[in-house]
Order: sequence, then C-alpha cells, then structure tokens
Amino acid sequence: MFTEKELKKLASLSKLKIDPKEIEKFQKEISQILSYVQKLKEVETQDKEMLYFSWLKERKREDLPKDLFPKKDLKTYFLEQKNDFLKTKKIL
Amino acid sequence: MKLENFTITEIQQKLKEKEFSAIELCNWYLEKIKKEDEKIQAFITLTEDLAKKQAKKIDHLIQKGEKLPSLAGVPCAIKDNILLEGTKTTAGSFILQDYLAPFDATVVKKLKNAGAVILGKTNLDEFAMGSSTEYSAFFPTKNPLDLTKVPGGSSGGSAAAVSANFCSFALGSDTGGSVRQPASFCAIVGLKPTYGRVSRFGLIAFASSLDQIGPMTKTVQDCEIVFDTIKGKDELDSTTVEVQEPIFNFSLKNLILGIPKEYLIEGIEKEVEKKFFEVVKFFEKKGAKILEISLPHTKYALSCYYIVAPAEASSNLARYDLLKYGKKEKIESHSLDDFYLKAREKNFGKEVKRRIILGTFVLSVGYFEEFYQRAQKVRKKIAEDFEKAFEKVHLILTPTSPTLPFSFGERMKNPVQMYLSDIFTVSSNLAGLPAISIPIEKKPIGFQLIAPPFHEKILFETGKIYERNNE
Repeated sequence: MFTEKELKKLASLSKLKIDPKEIEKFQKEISQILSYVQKLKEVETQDKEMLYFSWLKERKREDLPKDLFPKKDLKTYFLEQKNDFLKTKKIL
Repeated sequence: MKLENFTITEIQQKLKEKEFSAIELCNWYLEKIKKEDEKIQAFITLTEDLAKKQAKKIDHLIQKGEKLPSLAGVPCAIKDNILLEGTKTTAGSFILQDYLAPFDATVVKKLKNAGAVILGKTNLDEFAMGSSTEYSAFFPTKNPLDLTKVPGGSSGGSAAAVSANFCSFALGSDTGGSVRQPASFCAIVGLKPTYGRVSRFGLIAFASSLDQIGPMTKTVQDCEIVFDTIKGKDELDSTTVEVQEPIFNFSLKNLILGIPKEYLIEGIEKEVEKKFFEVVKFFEKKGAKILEISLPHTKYALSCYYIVAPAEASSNLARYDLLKYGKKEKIESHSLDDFYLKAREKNFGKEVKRRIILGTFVLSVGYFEEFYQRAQKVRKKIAEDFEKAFEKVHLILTPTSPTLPFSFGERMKNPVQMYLSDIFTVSSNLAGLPAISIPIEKKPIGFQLIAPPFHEKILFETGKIYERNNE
C-alpha cells in the first residue's frame, strides 16, 4: 500500500496538489493499479533488452533551419499579446 | 432531398453525377448534427464556416469539370486532440479549454488537400485516457446504438459521430485501443496503423511510443481510402518512415489466420465469443486456414501498458502549466510553484492525475528498474511473441473487446476494471503492429485482425471479403 507521505511526495514531484479529502481514495486506487502490474515480476527479463521498433533505425538529419510551418501565424493564436510580444502571466 | 448513410465512394459517385452538390451535402449533415447531437453529444465544436467554405470550393471544381481529389466533398470529423488551425482544440481537458490550434496537424492538412469537408471536433476522454468518454472534462458521449451505453473510448465522439451518420468518416487516435474499441462498441470500422505509418505532428501527445492516428469509417473500403490519404513520411514527425508496401497475391485460399489461445479468456462475454466464432467459421468456409497459436506473454500486456503509457504521459503532460497557453484564468498564488500546483490541480481530471502520479512513480529513483525498465523488457518479449507467430500465420484474428458496450458509471469505481476493456488491443500498440476492428453483423461487437508491420493492405483485403459476404 502506498503511504500518504509517498503519495504527497509524488504529487509534489508531478506538480499536482491532491485535495486532502481525496488522498485516501488516490492511495487506494494507485495501490490497486500497482498490485495489478506486479504480475510483471513473474517474467524472466535478465537477458532482455528494452524494446525499440526495428524499422525505426537511428536516423539523423542535418541540423539546418527550415521553414516547415509559418511562425508568424503562431502569434495570432496566443491568448494575449502586447506590441510584438506574447503576454503571459507574471511569474516572479 | 433524402441522403442516406453514404460511404465515401458513394458520395464521390453522386457528386460527379450531380445528384447533389457538396454544399447541399454539407448543409444536410450540419442540420442533422444540430438536430440530433443534443442527445448523443459526439461533438465538442462544430466548424460550420470552414466546412461550408471547403464544400463550395469542391462545387466550384465540379462546375469547372476539374478532376476531383480523393475525398472531395466528403464530410468528416476530427478527434479533439488533433490540431485544426484556428479552431479550439481541447483534448477533452479544462486545461486546454481556450486553446486555439496555431497550425494544422499533418493529417488534417492531408485531408484538406484531399478535399474533405471538416464538420467539427469530437469528444474524447481527457487527453485520450479512458475507454468510455466518461473521463471527458465536458460531457460523456452516448452510444448511438443504445443511449444508455457508453460509445467506448477514448475516440468515443468520433465513433459515435460515424455511427450516428453525422459524418462519413472520422479520425481518432489509438494508444492502447482508443480507435478500435469504440469502433467495436459503435459497430463501425477502425484502424490503428503500424507505428510510424501516419504522422503524429499536431496530435496532442499522450504516450509517444504508442500513439497512432487512425481512420474510423463505415466500411473497410472507406478505411483504406482514408488511410491512403493520411499515411506517409513527414519531415515534422521523425518516427514516420517511407516504406515499400509488401507485394502479395492475395487470396483467402492461401491465407493462414492465427487464433491466439490466450485471448479466449475468462471474462469474455458469451455473446462476444459466439459471434467471434461465427467469424472464424466464415473465414474457414471461404478457404482460409485457421491455426491455433500461442502468444505466451499476452497476460502481461496490460500491466506492461499501464507502466509504459503513464510514464510517457507524466512527461508529455508536464508542459501544461496554464502560463503559456490553454486557458485564461486568474489564479491567486504566492510563488511560481504554488501557481503550477493550483493550476494543474484545478484543471486536470482524476484519471489524468492518477496516471501522472503513477508515471512519476515508475520513473522515480529506486523504482525505475523495478517497473519501467522491466516493463520495456517485457514489451520486447511481447513483440517477439508476435514475430514468432507471424512465421506461421499471415494474420491474427481476435475479438476487439471482451465485452459489449457497458453502462455509464459501471466501470468508474475501479480504474483496473476500466483498463480491462483494452485487454485485446494494447498488445498491438506495444509491438507497433497494424490492427483493424470490423463490426460483426452491424452489432456492437467487433473482430480484430492484426498484421505484421506495414501489412495494412492484407487487413483491408481480408476485411473487404468479410464485408462483401455479410452485407
């Protein structure tokens, strides 16, 4: 079972706040999922590599700037703008 | 004018014969949605102006006698986690409630170029996490075949829209079964292509090593037409590949279909099992060879999925902070960290939070090897099971979902219960394989065909034979 302390730690790492009234429910549900996935421990995996798709070989392209989509339009859909700047909330 | 449940091919034919115009067709669909979607709630946003503009453009081409592109005038819908420029794209979440897509997803661009008429954006479980659309932040969609049942998910809005004939086809996204399971529940066709076959540029990412965009259609033939339109390498998605499609002489008489014994599990509903074996019998009668096969790691697929998918989601969803985009909302906070916590706590739903926390857990120090790394290794074993099976058979035949559509609320209490809905579909995402769901006798029960990578054409050919013989 997941302890309350563990849950709170994970929530803070995930930048999430859990409503104190819901902590117990979250603890129970996440423990349920974790106990379900414990099954994987039965599988012998020592000599195994992790999966990658064989048809997606390592492919690199040259790092050259390209005009793949129009950046000027991106601005139009930003929630708020001022002069030529994109406006966000004050964060400091 | 009476417009029936037309397929893409029929629409194209009738437009050319001038039985109706593209704008007439478009208006007819928009009227139908306005009148009937109140009870089904498949759509989050209607894109009426865009649709009419596109339809008029097609009529102009027809008038001039020009060659029509492959989807000219065909009304369609797009799942609301796929970007359509200038249109609200919410991913079913409050956190993106006011988000206007700044560009078209590659698949949308391809549909537009092919002349498709986009009617609107469809409902989904928040960030595509769910199997019923009950986790949409806005409202649940109902199953057009029985309004007391869920349409499946997460592409439930798209499935319901096609099933209710609100459009001719729709796009969905499939991370663990999100195209195929709702297709099965709503008695339509749904395809998850090979990983790397269709560009995800402009798809709101959920689990990047699993996500694929796929067509949801009325017939297998339509599915093929839409797939051919959206597939292909894209410079904007580095996982896409250009492939030489395998050449084969298709005949059912040469076809070997494998039935994995691990799929006929306890918990599969009797009606599903019965209808599935009728399909097996059908193919056998038509000359295909049926072989029992074994995919021994099947029982670990769901566990594997529910480690890999949340891990990737926790990373993909870290970008939503309500500062850059998404929603105008005033939040009182005393620090930046406090702002993040409040914004995300308020605007993410419960299932999304569960998965973010779970994903953070399996990626954290001390648990990474035990969970995430182990899951990725088991994933390799699952993929190898398929490789071995495909040495003996051409396609694998299974039911799409172990159950018929369930009732609202039935699976909301226990998350693992909801996850079990994907038990037959997750494996092909884990292994990157193409898989199609095809409805049995227009009932909310589908059968699934799984093929080796890039063998979508065999899925279509086999599916079309079933369809032709069961109309």
